Amino acid sequence: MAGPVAVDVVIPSMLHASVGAKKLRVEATTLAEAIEAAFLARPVLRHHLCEDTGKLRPHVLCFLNDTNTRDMKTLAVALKDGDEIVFVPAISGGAVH
Amino acid sequence: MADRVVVCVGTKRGLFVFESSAKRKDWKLRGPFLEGWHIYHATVDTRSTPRIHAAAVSDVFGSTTFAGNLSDAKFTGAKKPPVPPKPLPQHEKFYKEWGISKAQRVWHVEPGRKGEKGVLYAGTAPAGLFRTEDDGKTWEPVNSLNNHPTRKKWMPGAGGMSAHSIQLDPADTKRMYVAISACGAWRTDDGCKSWTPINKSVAKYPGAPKDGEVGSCVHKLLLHPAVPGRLYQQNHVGVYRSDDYGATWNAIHMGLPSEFGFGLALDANNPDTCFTVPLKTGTNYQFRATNGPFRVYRWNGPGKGWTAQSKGLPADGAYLSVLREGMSADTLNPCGVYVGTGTGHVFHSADAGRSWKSLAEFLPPVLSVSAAVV
Repeated sequence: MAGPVAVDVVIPSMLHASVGAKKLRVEATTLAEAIEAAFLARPVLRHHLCEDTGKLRPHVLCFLNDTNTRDMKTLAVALKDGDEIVFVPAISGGAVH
Repeated sequence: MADRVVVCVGTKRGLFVFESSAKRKDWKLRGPFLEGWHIYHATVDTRSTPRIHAAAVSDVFGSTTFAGNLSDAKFTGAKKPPVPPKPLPQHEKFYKEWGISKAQRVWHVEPGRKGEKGVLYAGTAPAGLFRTEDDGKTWEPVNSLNNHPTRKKWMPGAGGMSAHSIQLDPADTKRMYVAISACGAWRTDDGCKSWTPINKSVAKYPGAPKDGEVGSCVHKLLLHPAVPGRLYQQNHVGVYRSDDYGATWNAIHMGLPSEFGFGLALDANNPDTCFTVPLKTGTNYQFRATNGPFRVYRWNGPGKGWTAQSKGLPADGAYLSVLREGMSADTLNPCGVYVGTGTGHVFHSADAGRSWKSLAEFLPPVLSVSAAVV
């Protein structure tokens, strides 16, 4: 596996004021490492994106470029220069609260 | 003479800020800020440079607090937000049967006393009390209340189990009050080291624990700023006043069309006055609507009863709801009173409730209203 590369982690707009940034530049070898690096850089990001179990909140999606991480078998995938990790709120509705 | 009156209106889709001179005739609207967040409560901290503190909830991203100067409304989120306790396992069935949200929410933010620089308190659902000493950047739980030995007896109401009222005694730095639905009101006299339930002589709601002082469904509790120990509460089953720091309570709702309601506001210049909006109760718990005409009721003190305030308010066909953070009063004389509704209306009075005007129409549903003089 190649060494670490620099990738951007794009922050949802609703969290810009909490995280203090629109995107974070992190260095990592794998997608999992990059996400963890972003959480270490801004711990409040974990609070907003994850449940206590560490899993993403039910309506939070994470994309590596155009791929939804929910469709991946593992997050231990190698990153390459220019990759972008994007967190977005899922568009959903119709549920009765 | 006050320069400005500021009214923070928290909605399901962000925060709106209304400002006026002390005459309260012409209002300027700013916002929305914090778009997308449900603003359960927002208040102006007037202890130094005026700052807005907001309790914010997202269906996607959880809950947090925001703070920013009133002047530019550039908000920063907490770096370590309050993390409410999880629902108790024994409440699972109740939450499910009643369709109550189990989401962890920051419900209310209350600035500390003058001289307590950077100190604020936050109430959450499920019920928790939190304190910050750095102006809302990091929050720590007040475990003397959150882990109170009676907690296993605490019950959620139909709106959940929230610590929604936090009142600090301005004259005694060790005394404060917290009210939790549907558990009751609490007082500390030793700076949060210990807490005493203060629900004697308050009627219990149907289904509440029969023994002990836990199980009062207080909807809103306020401390009068000018009279030590004078408290008012709008409860599920009535409106009450205490003159002894909550040790005993007197029912004052006789004469109201309904003892049920959520909002409550006080006149800082008249300790014998409080304002509420009685809501209709009925079958299927369709209680969050008035029965046509919309009225704010003013209590005029012992022996003087209630006055229905209707001038300028919708006369009929107004099926409006007012939530527990939906009423507020400023501290001018005569006081201004502000009421927000689930339909996105905000009504205001500049003469202690005698006459009313519309401050806003067609906002998103209003969750909270909070007035301040800056």
